[in-house]
Amino acid sequence: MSKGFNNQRSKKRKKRVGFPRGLLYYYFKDMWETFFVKLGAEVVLSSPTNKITKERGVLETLDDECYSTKLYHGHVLELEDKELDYLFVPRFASRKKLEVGCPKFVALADILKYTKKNLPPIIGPYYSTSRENHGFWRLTKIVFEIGFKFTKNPLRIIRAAILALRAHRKAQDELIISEETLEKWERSEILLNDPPINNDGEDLLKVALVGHNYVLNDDYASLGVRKKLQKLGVDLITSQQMPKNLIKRQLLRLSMIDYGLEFPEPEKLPLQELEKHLVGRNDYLYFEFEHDIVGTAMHYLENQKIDGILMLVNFICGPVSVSMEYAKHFAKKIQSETPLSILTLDAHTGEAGFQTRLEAFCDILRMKKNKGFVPEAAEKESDLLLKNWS
Amino acid sequence: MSYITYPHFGPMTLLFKSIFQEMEVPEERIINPHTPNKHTLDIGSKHSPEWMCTPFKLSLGSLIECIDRGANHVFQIGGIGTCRASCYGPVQRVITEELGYKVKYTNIDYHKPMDMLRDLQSVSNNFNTWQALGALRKIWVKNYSLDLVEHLINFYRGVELEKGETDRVAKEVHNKIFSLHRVKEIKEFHKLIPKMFEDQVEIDEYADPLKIGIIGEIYVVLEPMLHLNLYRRLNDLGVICRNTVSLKKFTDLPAKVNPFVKEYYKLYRDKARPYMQQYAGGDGQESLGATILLREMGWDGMVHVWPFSCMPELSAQSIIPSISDDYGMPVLPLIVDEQTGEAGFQTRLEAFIDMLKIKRESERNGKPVEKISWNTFNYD
Repeated sequence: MSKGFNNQRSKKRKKRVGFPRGLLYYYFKDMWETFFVKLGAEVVLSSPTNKITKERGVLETLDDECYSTKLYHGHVLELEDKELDYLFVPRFASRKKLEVGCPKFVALADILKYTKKNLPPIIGPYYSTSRENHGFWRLTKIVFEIGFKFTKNPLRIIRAAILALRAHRKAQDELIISEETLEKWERSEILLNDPPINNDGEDLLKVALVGHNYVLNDDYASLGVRKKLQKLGVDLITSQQMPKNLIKRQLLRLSMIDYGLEFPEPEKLPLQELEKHLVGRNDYLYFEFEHDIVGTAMHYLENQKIDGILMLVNFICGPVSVSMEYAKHFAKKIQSETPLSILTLDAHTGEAGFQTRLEAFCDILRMKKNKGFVPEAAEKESDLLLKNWS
Repeated sequence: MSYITYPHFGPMTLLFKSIFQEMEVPEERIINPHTPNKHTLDIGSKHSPEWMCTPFKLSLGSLIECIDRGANHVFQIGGIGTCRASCYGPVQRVITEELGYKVKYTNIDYHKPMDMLRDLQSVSNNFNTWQALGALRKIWVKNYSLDLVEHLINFYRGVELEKGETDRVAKEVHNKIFSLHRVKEIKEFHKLIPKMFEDQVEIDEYADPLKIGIIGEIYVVLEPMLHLNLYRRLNDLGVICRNTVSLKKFTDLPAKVNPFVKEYYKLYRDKARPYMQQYAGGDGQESLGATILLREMGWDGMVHVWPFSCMPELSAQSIIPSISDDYGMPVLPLIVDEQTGEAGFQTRLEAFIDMLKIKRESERNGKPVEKISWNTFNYD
């Protein structure tokens, strides 16, 4: 009697799926959450990054893992004792022919499986267009494989998948602004993010905040950079909001050796022509999540309509080391007047030091803007430094 | 007038050199890189991004040296890859441009053999595709012999009775390989190579040496400047060793075309499948597979070398402890970068080998010492 009763209850209990709040979650959260909720599962998220997450994550991983991966391990450890049925860690490699994610994402599920003891079974679908030529059919296969773990109704699975894709598209549309809106923002007609706090009647600064989504949107990992800048009177735009078309155009230019000022619009070029530009010369920045970073930096270094660019990178991130080099090179090449500052984050970055650096950055931007210029002595000194360096 | 150059790549530099020779590029238009030294690495790391992997820094250093000597056409890796290796060409182009050099880059995508062929054809002496393929064929045939010689050296040097004998024979064989120009001759000579070593080098057949495999990132495993003569150090300690990566992975066209031949790295990948399901760039998966495979063949231990901040090997290193536990295979991780010191390296190796000896003695159970020869060691 009691056995039957238990069975009935377990049938009613929703299956619980855990999402660690880190890395790819910040790119695809709407899609994943909608999909699992519509399948009838309960989504369990780890709490936002905090000190405990960081400390546990740092202890668990190898020393030269990147900071975000360390945090990710911390999130997984938090989910360990939440009575989950599954953990969702996709093996995502690439979604376009010429684009690749970070190689660490592919091995992440296996690493978790062999370094943590009490983990629930991992759902880790593999998807790679650049290597294995995966496409629509592979996606369908993945959707059904996951779906049948939660429900027996194929129609429900299809519906969940369609709704998930729709949710993803909607979220992207809301996040990514059009080129007209961007121009309006550059003319200071509208605000895109939280309004800056204006103290002592100082001018507003316009700054582009550049970095990976999982750095910028994680308040603890980025040491609350958005709020800090807001208090310093900074009007922000983030790299994830930039129009995709614009970014693609800048990237295309990067692989043309002389960076001619006239460059083709990717939408108008026929595909074959585009491939000739990119593939034939084998010279293309193929890391997908770096495109926003490099493209945004290049755009603002060139048009000089904003006061400064702030790049946030986390320590020993592999792909970023490449994109930083491209951004620095481009700034030197076109002799840009827009300052580009790169700040590194890791597990030991102190909040006070970070705040000081942000304040110094904003002060210098204000000095430059108010025509008082950077004082002459400082300029001379920086010239000397540059000479010694090069 | 274009002066062609290419980055240094361990013993395989000889292969790249002979590619251009076979393509009938005039001798004075090929600028061969010198063996890298500390200075090369210093130049490279001065101009590279701080977090880039060490192979990038060394190859940039060697390229800059060659460009200073007059080269203006560089062959480097490019295309769409999985890890940063395929970024080398584009990023080095950016850096050399910033330094004020006017250099043309030809980025070779090693995933696409036919494109590779076309790129090489463009610098050749008006070769058609057939002739270029013929020239390339000599390269992969020479690559077989070069690999074999490497394995033979690492075996005989560990157990030779008179020090220096193996190196002498190896040099002789190298010279002979690169003086041959017909595929048939090279293939005939290939069969004689093990015999040459057997006849000329006297070995201690009952030395009972430890057998150690070397896994890791391909550039570091093949480049003596980066692994600090790891093989020679191991051999001097009376150990025979063998590397598990080879340039064959990229150049062996017949094995790629032939459905009945299983390439060596695919074997490793299949072995590694339970531990790392999918290929995650570089040689990470192969490192795992090789560890399992060599354990099953009764080898004593592994040394895992990889450059600092290498992403695929880092993933592999996270999983290797569980393989070590499951199969009882000791693995020594060694991270190299431009600041690695020799003394620390040597101490760790000596300690590792002492531990392996203790482990072997405890597992021996009174078994007699076996007689060793090249045939018992070779597993190809």
